Amino acid sequence: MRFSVSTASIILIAIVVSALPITGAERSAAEVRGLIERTQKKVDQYRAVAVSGETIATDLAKIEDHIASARKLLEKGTVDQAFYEISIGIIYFILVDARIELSRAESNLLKARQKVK
Amino acid sequence: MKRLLICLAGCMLVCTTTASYAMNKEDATAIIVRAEKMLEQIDSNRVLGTYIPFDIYGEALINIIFSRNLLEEEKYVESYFYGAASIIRLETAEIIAKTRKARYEQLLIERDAASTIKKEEGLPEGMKVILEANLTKKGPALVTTIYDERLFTPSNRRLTMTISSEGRERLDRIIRVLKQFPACTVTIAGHTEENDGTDLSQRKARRTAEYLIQRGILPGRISITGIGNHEVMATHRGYERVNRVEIIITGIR
Repeated sequence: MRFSVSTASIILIAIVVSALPITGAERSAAEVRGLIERTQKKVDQYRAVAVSGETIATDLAKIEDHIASARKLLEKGTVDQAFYEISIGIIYFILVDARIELSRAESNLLKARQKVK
Repeated sequence: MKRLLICLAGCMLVCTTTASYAMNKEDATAIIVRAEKMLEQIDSNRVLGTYIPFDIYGEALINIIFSRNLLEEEKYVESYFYGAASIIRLETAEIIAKTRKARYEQLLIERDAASTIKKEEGLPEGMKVILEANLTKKGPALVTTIYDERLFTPSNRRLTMTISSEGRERLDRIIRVLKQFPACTVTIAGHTEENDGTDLSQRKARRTAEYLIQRGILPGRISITGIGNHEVMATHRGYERVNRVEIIITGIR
């Protein structure tokens, strides 16, 4: 059986395309958009109520960078990548909470030291 | 011509996919290396070591392993995600450790303040110095424990044998007790967390004894011993091997 060049090329393209990773099949754009909106809301809440504003300003800015990146990736159609990007932003909140607690603990320690002196 | 175009399209497709993989692979590799370096720094930090929350630290460790595995499977986007997640978790673990340390120090200050007896009438001077030295009764002896990071000047890599300012303060209070009760004797016991191959526990006890002698306590009243990691102590996390020096005073009635 003889293969023509065009047939070979078509087979080659088919193999390459089938080897590409499936993007967007696992998560929908709507789900990811929802995550982005919820994360942005959370950032706004932290900005509004956080006492240790300066302490967490950098962290909140980093989260917003991830929100912005996720939005851009979603616009490009790379839903999975957008999902991972916003997931990193969401994980950042444990760092934010920890930093707020540290700020409180250091403040209490300072007060305790001053009381003793 | 048609055949040539189809072949060209196929080649371009292969090249673009290969190029995008190469870019993501570098990012994923770089973030894993960064995470592993951070892990190393945390592991070598003797000051914060006992305060690190293992649940978050453990999650970070698992994330790094996942990340490496995904890198080998050429799933670069997922690998990057787990690498980034591990870095955030390691940073969080460090911050929580600092918080715990600050709270512990606050507790100690408040406890010291509560047990410090100001000059009240009726309380014997001997009792006051014993209370100020944080000594607790254990059978016929009075005992106090000083953690390594409080007694010696901390260093990231290894324990220094320089008594810190806080260490000097604690030992000076012990010295006041020894001078108040000249008949009593003191045993200094060094403890370690790890297997004591280099006799570290003995050296810690000896260094502490040297400080007491420099401040006028007769060497004949002091005995030193290195226990290694053979004895645990009760901590807020249960019984653990802890780097510390125990001072045991006997002969006070």
